[in-house]
Amino acid sequence: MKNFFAIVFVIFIGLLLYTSALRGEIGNPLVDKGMTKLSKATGPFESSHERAPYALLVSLVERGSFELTQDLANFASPDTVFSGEKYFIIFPPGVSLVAMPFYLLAKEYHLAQLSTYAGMTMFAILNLVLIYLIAKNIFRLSIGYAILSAMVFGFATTSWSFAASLYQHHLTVLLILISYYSVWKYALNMQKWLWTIVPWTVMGLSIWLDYPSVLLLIPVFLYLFLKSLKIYNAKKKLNIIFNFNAYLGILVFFALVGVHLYYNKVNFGSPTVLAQFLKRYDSSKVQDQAVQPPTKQTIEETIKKKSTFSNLFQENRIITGLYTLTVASDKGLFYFSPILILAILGIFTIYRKSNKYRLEAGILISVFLLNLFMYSSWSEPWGGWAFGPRYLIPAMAVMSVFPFIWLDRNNNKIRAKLITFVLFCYSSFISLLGVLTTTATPPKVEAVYLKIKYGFFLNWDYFMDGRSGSFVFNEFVSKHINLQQYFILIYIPLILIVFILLFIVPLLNRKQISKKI
Amino acid sequence: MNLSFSISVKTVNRIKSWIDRLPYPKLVFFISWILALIATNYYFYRDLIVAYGDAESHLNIAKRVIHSLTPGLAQLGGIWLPIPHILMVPFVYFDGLWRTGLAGSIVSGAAFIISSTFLYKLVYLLTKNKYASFIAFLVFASNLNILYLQATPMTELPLIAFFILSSYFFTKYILNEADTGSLIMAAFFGFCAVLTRYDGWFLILFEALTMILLYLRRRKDWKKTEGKLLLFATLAFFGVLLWMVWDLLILGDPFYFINSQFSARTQQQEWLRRGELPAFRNFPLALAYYAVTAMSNSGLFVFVIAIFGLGAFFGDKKNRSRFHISLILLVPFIFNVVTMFMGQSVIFIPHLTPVDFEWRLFNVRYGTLMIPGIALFFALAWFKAKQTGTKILILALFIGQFGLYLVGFSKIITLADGVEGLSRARRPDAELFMDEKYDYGLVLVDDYARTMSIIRTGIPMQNVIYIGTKPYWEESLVAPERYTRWIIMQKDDAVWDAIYDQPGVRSRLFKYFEKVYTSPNILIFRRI
Repeated sequence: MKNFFAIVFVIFIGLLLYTSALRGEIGNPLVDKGMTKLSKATGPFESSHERAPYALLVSLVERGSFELTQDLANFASPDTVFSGEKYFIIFPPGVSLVAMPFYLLAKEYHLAQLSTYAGMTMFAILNLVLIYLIAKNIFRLSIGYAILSAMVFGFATTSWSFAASLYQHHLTVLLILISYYSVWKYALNMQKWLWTIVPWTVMGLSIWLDYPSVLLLIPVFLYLFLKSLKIYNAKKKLNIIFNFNAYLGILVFFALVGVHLYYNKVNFGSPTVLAQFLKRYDSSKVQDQAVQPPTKQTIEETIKKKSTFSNLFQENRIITGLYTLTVASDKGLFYFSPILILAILGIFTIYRKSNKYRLEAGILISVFLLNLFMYSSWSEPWGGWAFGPRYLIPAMAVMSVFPFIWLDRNNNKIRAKLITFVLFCYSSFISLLGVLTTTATPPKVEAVYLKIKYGFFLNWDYFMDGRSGSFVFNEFVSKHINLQQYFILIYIPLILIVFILLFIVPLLNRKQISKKI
Repeated sequence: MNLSFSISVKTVNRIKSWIDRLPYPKLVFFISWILALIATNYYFYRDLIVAYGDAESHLNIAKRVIHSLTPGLAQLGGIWLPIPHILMVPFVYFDGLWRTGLAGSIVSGAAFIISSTFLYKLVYLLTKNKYASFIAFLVFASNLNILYLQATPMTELPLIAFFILSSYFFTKYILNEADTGSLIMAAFFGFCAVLTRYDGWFLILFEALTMILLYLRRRKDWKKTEGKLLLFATLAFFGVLLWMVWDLLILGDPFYFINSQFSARTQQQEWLRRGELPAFRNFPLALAYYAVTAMSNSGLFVFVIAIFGLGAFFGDKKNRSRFHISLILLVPFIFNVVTMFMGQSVIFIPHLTPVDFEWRLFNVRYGTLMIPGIALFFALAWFKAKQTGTKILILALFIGQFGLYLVGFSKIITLADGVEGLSRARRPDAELFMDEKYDYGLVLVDDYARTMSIIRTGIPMQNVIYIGTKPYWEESLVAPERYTRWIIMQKDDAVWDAIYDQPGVRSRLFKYFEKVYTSPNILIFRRI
C-alpha cells in the first residue's frame, strides 16, 4: 500500500511541477495563421527541434502526409531535408506519430499545441515512476530514497526543460527504462515470456524515434542474453540452458523495422536511406523560397559523403566531447547537475561494498557510459541551442538512482545527506531556471562568435527580465506575481519535499522500527 | 521454451587440460611470425611500407654505408642513432629490398617477433600465468598500429624490442637481486636501446635509478649496490659515451645530435616560433598529449582497461616491487612527456591539437612505445579480475576494439600520419618525371629537404651527390658542372640557395645545363 501511495505521490509531484513549467500558448499553431510568432525566444517553437516534429504532426493530421508543404518546411527549417522534390523533417517520425492523439484530443478546443506538449509531459511522468520502481524494486532502496531518485532525474537535471516541450528525449528514456525493467521482471520468472516482448518492441520503436538510441539499448539486450542463459553443475555434468522465451519478441522487432524500411522506401526512394543523410534545407540561407531543390545527383553525392558511421562518431572528437559534456560551463552534465557527481560515488559503493545488484548496476552504468562516449565522439555534442547536455538525458535517468545507493550504503550519515541536499538545491535551481525561461541557449563556440551569453547565464538574464515560456505563468499567474516570485513558489516547496524525504522521513521510519522492537 | 544441453565435467576438464597443455611460447612465436608476414604483405601490395618520409631516410642511411659515392660507416651520420640502420645494412645491399622498403620490414618484423616473445615472458615472470601472458601477447601483436609499423623501416619496433628485452631482464633482477646475469643482460639490451632511439637513454637512466631505489628499500649493503650499479652503468651508459665520441670524431661536436641544424630541438624551434608547440612548458598539456596519443595507438577500450590494470598492480600490496617494475614500464610515458614539456619533441593529434594549427597529425607513432606497457597492464587487469564475468567483459572489450576500427570510429593513426599527416612522404610530379627521364650520371640533390624519393626514381644511390658525399657536395655547389649530369632543387633548399640564388653560380648553371622540368617549387636541370 505504501508503495502505491508513493507512486501516486510521484505522479502528483510530476504533474504539479511539470505543468507549472509547461511551455506554450492557447491555439492551434500553423492552422490558425499567424501563430508562427511562437518561434521567438521562450516561445514553444523557439528551437527548430520543436518546430520540425510539430510541423510533421500538423502535416500528418491536417494533410495525412509525411511530406511537408513549403510553409511547413520553412517553419521546420533547418531541420528539414530534400528527397526528390519533396520536403521532410530530418528526424524519424516517431515523436510526431506519438503526439498525434494528444493533438487531436485538444484541437477542437484550440489547445492543440499545449496538449501535444502535455503529452510529452505524460511520458516524463512515466519515467519518474519507472525510476522509482527501479530504485525501489531492483536496488531495494527505501521508499523515500526511491522517490528522491525520481525527483533527481525529474527536477534536478536539465531533463526538466525537455519534459515541457516537444523533444524525443523523454520517449527515449522511457523506452530504455521500460525495457530494462521488463528484462529484470523476466529474470525473476523466466516463464513470464510476455515481459520479453517489451525490449524487442522497444528496440523496434526506437528506430522510429531516434536512431542512436538503438545503440543505447545494447546493454539491455546483453542483460536479456545473460538472463536467458543458465549454466550450472549437476551430476558430474555442466548443464547449459538457453531460454528461448527471451527471443520471442524478435518478430515484433522485425515487423516494426520492416514498416520503417517501407517508410524510407516510400518517402526517400530506398529502404536504407535515412532522412538524416539527405541534403538539408535551410530556409534562412535560401533567398528565393521557391528555389528548386537540388538535382538528384547532388543529393546522391551528399548521401555518399554522409552515410558512413565514421562521419557521425569519431574517436578524435572524444576528448573535447567528453570535456564539453561533463564539465564545460556551456553544456557540462556535472556543471548543470552536480548532484550526479554523487552517482559516481554510488557506483564505487556498489562495487566496493556490496556483491548485490552488480549486474543490474552494471547494465545501467553501461547505458551511461555508452551514452556519454557515443555523444562525446558525435560530430556535434552540444545538441545545438539547448539547455544543458540534452543528448545525455538517458544518462541522467540511469544515473539518478546511484546518489541514493551511496547514501544508503553510507548508513545515511548526516554529512552525506547535507551534501546531497546542497547539491540537489543547486541542481534543481539551475534546472528550474532553464525550464521557466528558455531551452535555446547556445554552445560556447557560437555564443562567443555572436557575443552573447551561454549556459545558464543567458537563462539568468531572461529570468531577471521576467521572460518566461511557462504557459501557467504567462496565462494566469503573471497578472499577480512576477517571474522571480513564481520561481520561489515552485522552488521552495520542491526543496522542502526533498528536505523532508532526506531528513524527516528516515527519522519517522526509525521511530516506527524502534516501536516495533 | 528451453534449449538445454549438457557436457560432462570430464569433457570440460579434458578441454581445459588441452588448452592448458598448448605450447604457448611456441604459439606466440608462430602467431607473431604469421601476423608479421600477413601485415607486411598487406602493406607491401598497397605501397604503404615507405609511406613515412622518415622511412625512406632510414633506408637510405643504411644503403649509403655500402653503396654511395663515399661509402662507409661515417654515412650513419650523427643525429639518428645507428643500430636500426646497421641492422638494415645486410638487407639494403639488395636493391630490390632497399627500393621496396622490405629491408626495413625484415628488421622491424624480427623486432616484432622478439618483442612478442619477450612480452609473453615478461608477463609470465610477473604473474606465473600463461593465459594472462598470452593475452598480453595478443593485445600487443594484434595492435593495428604495431602491425603497421612492424612492416616499415621505422625505428619504433627495434626500440620496443630492446626496451622489452631490457625490461624483462631488469625485472628478473628486481625480483632476484642476486641474479647478476640478468642485470648484465638488461644493461646489454639497454645499451642497444641507447643506440636505437633517444628514448633508450631514459630507460637506462631509470633502470639505474631503480637500482638506487631498491637499495633505499632495504638500506644495507651499499657496497654491493655500488658494484652492481657500476657494472650496469659501464655497459649501458657506454652507448651514450660511444655516441658522443662518434659525433665528436665524425662531426666535430659531441653534442651534434642536440646542436645541429638537423636536430629535433632545432626543428621544434620553428614550431615554437609559429606558436604551435602546445605542450612546451605546459605540463598538464604534455601529459594529456602523450596520454591521448598512447590511447589512440593502443585503442580506447584497451587503454581504459590497462589503467584499471595499472591500478590493480599498484594496489597489490603483496608485491613489494610493484613500484619499481611500473617505473620501468612507464619510461616511454615519462620520456615523451618530459621531451614535449622541454620542447624537444612535438606531437600533433587531432583529438587535442587546435583546429587553427597548420597540421593536426604528426609524430603520433611515439604513442606505440607505450603499447607493450599497456598490453601488460591490460593482461594484469584480466589476471586480477576476480569474477569470470569481469574476465569475459575484458576480453569482449578487447574484441570490441576491433569493431571500433571496423566501423571507422577509430583510425590506424600511425598509418594515417604516414598517409595524410605531416610525417608522410611527399610525392611530387617531379618524382615521376625523374623516374621516366633519368638515364645515367650523377644527380645533385638536397637529401635533407626530401625534394623527392630516391628509391622511387630508379637513381642508383652511388649516383647521388648529397650532403654526406664530401667533397663532391661542396664542390658541386660551387661548380655544378664538375661532376653532375642532373640537378634537382627545391625552393629554399641547400641546392637552390647555393646555386640558383647565387648569380655567379646561376650563370654557370644556365651555361652548362638546360631546365627540363619546372614546377612552382621544384626545378630539374640536365647537362647540355
